Amino acid sequence: MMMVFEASRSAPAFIGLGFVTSISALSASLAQFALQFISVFLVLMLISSVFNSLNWAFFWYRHEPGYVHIHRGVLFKSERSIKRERVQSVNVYTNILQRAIGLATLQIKTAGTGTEAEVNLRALTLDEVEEIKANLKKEQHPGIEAAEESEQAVHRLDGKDLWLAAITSGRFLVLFSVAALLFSQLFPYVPDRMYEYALELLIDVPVTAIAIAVVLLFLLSWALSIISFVVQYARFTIRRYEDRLEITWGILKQNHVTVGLNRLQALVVKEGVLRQPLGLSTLFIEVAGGGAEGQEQISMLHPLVRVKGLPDFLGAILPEYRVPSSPVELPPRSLRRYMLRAMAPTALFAAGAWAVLADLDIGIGWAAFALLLPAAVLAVSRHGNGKTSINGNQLTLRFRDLNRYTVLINKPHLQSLSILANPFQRYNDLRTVEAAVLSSPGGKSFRVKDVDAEETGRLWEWYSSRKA
Amino acid sequence: MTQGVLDRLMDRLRLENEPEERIDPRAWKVWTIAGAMNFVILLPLALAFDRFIVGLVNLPPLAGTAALALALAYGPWGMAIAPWLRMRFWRYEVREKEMEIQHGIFIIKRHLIPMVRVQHVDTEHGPLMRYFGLATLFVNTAATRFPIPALPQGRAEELRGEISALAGVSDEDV
Repeated sequence: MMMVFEASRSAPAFIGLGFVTSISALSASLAQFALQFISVFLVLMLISSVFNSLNWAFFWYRHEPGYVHIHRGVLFKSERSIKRERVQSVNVYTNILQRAIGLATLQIKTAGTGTEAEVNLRALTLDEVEEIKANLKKEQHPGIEAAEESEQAVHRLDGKDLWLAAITSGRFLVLFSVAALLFSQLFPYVPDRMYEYALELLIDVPVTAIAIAVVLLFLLSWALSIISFVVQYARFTIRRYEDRLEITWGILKQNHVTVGLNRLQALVVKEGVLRQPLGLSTLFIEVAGGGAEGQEQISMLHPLVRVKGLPDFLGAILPEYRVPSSPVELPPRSLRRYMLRAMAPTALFAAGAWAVLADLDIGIGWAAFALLLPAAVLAVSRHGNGKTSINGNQLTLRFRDLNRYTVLINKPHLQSLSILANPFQRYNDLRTVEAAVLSSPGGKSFRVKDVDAEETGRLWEWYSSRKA
Repeated sequence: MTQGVLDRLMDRLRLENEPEERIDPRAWKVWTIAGAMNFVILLPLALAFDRFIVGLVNLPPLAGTAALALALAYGPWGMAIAPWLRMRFWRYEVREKEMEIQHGIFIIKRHLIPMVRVQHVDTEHGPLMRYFGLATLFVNTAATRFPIPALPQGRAEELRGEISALAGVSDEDV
């Protein structure tokens, strides 16, 4: 069974092959090009499927209560025993192909960073998955077990919000750039004749038609991105248990992720440029331990939460964090520094552009200075959004680069607190505050610039065990 | 009068509540020597750039002059000004439950690290530091790493022991 599955992993390659073949039918000269393409492809695929099969044939696992043992390697053998106590999380993923034949991927994460920290058991039967999960589950006192299993709160992303999230995801930009990247990669392989032919076609077509085509392409990629987002995050559900969060999502590829609350280091509320005007945000979490693969999925806690509904959401799902009630704003005198920081590079860039354009005898180079306006707007907004606050044990930092971020950190998860000040900041009694948290892989730090020195003093005192 | 103004300016440019302990004054010598070594390497490079490369690649002659000027400016900066400023701002303080480290030349940075967050401490000494009997102590948390340079070797060992003993006594989660 697993053999079939391993082979099926090359399925996308077959589809690509079919695609290339069908295009090659279009023109004779193109066919020659396609032939080369296909032969290279076939060889690569052969190598990869041999490699995959070997890997599969030399992969053994065994499990017993409290342990999973793994033997693998074709030339370099490695053996590994994973003990229940060292397991950080056990996740289950299934894609459409696996589901069709009743299989799933089991991912076991242990503490540490990099690929060493996780083991993926691909193509297990669902019974097997349950068995291994049961073997790795922490031993519980029989009495508590029943209570432990009942969830404390559930949150679902309902239909309308899912579509809203998809529309505002901003993914079409990614899709657009992927298309551009593909084009630039394939460009050298396109025969000259075909290129010339396309160019001739384009010259005949009026500019408006080209513009319409670009807009259509844009809309198409947007629509595609919306559909892919909806498919990816459909049936998104968060369940809160006593000691963990269980997140499930997806139709084609079903994901089931467990995050132990003891691994949670910080909560990040991101309000994207597209989403902020609509009062929407995305929640991310910083998590300790676990491997590098699939980080993206682990780090997103919720794809779309209404900012207004955030307190309720946190109250139900994550009462460990609260939306701060009275954040401290940046002092007015730091606006000047924000202005300088945003506008000086812009002015330099504009001056450079002007010089270059003037050199080319293009007279409207000075128009580049119009960029100063959005830079100033951004600076004012950054200044207005820079906030810090302390609520009991929780430090909250808010700042904007282009998106607005609100970072919530509990004191025990704050690895170190730093203040930074250059001479001008010192002269004006301003400080930059930086909070470091553990995040896999490695650490992460969040900054708010040009905070009043009095406020950073308060933050310092809050974090310090030495009370004044 | 001018003395008063300068004093007040210097006072404003200081970060309040500086940590107590300074690093060993021999650090000054180490940094000066290191700066001199950099200068000795940098100057011939800039000269070579000015004499040969600029002509070879057809750069404007100003580029060569600028490189030379930069290299020459690095001399007093790397050998005198930077070591002086660094020496001035390097401070640290180890308390029972936390430690503070302050450093910087232009931007002063000050870090507060609770002992329970310290994962491990290690010392390091390069050839120059070793010649002067100094060592650098590194304090590692799960997310960050902070150096305290130029401690007398004995003091570094002592601090390492002290911090390891104070660190990690709490069983709180990571």
